[in-house]
Amino acid sequence: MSDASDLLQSRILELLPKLRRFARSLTRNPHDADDLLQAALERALTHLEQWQTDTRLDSWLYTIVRHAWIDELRSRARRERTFEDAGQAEAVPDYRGDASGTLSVDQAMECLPEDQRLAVALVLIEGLPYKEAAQIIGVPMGTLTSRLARGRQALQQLLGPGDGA
Amino acid sequence: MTIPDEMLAAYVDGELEDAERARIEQAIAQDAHLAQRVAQQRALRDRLRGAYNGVLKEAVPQRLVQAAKLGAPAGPAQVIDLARVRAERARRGNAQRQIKVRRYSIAASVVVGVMAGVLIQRLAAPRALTELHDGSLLARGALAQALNEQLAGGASPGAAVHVGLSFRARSGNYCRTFAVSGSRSLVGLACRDQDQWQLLDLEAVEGSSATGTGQNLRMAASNLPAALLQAVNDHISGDPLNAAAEARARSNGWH
Repeated sequence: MSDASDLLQSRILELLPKLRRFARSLTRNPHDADDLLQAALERALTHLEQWQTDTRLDSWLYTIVRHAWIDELRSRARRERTFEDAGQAEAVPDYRGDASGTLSVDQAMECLPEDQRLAVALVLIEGLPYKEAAQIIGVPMGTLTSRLARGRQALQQLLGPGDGA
Repeated sequence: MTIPDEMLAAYVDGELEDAERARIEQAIAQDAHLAQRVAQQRALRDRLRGAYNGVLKEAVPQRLVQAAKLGAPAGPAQVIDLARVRAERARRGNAQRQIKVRRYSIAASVVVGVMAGVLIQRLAAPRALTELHDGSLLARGALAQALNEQLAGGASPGAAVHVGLSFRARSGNYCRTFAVSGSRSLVGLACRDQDQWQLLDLEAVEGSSATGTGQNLRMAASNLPAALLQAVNDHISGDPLNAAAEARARSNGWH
């Protein structure tokens, strides 16, 4: 292995904990998260030549995790449709009904629409700059900030005001 | 003064320019209600991070480390073998060594022998450029040596590592950019942290330009990939060091 690939290797390994965190905030399930990340890593490494100059390695990897997650959601939707046809639709959890401030963070995240959850995960949990987050999601900055604002608002309501007083 | 939610959020997220940030901070100091809104935003962010940060402390499962290995045989293309995944889960919590022994049915003594061999090889020839320590990537080997000793443009011909721009970060610590050539050329940013060089950024550059980039960095920041330039801008305080300041910093051991 060349020095450069040795370095790249170490960097990818260094990013694994953060990628796991990202995957977990998207899936809200540890097993699903690691399955998702494993699929994303396999995809990333077979397409390493697509990592562009001028793209942060972490952003590129986050993007691949996001794509893998969208694929997973699509195939889940297909499965669900199949179950519905057979009259076996699974109950979708809905915590939205009652009291605020009683939900866990996972449950509150679950309530967000996918696009808001992504924005929240990248900016609030992963701590990425808006510019990077917008690039990863593939939307303009304005779209990102409005999704983020709506996501924040919803989470404040679901989780309660917190101890900001 | 009325401050819209999105502006306040941008403040909490560290997205405002200095002047705007100062303006908001002044407003916060004079307005208890505003201060409370900021505190609530911070509390929300802290709560979200708190809920997911636990995963950072967990040991990364071996199957993910394997999946992240360059040059490792690619898994079944983009399809997860559920049986394999399930079997892996059953093993979760076992040490890497045990997995290897089970999977490959290699006698323990052979494994120990191989591991000792690897260890000796590492000690004899520390080729690795980095070491992962407590979640931080620290420079080692030729990279650490170059960061410690090399002056910008002073790499010997054919050197694997070329150091470029040096500067002081806002923290007061020294940082240096570097280029490493190879099949995939990389440039990066390393900053001093407790007598070590910690890698903060790593970016790809096109082909053989890395070496040139390394040599010309001090004077021509425009040669840096935009992403690395961004990282430099995020950290730099004042101007890059000139040759005299760089030499002084080196003789002071980058303290």
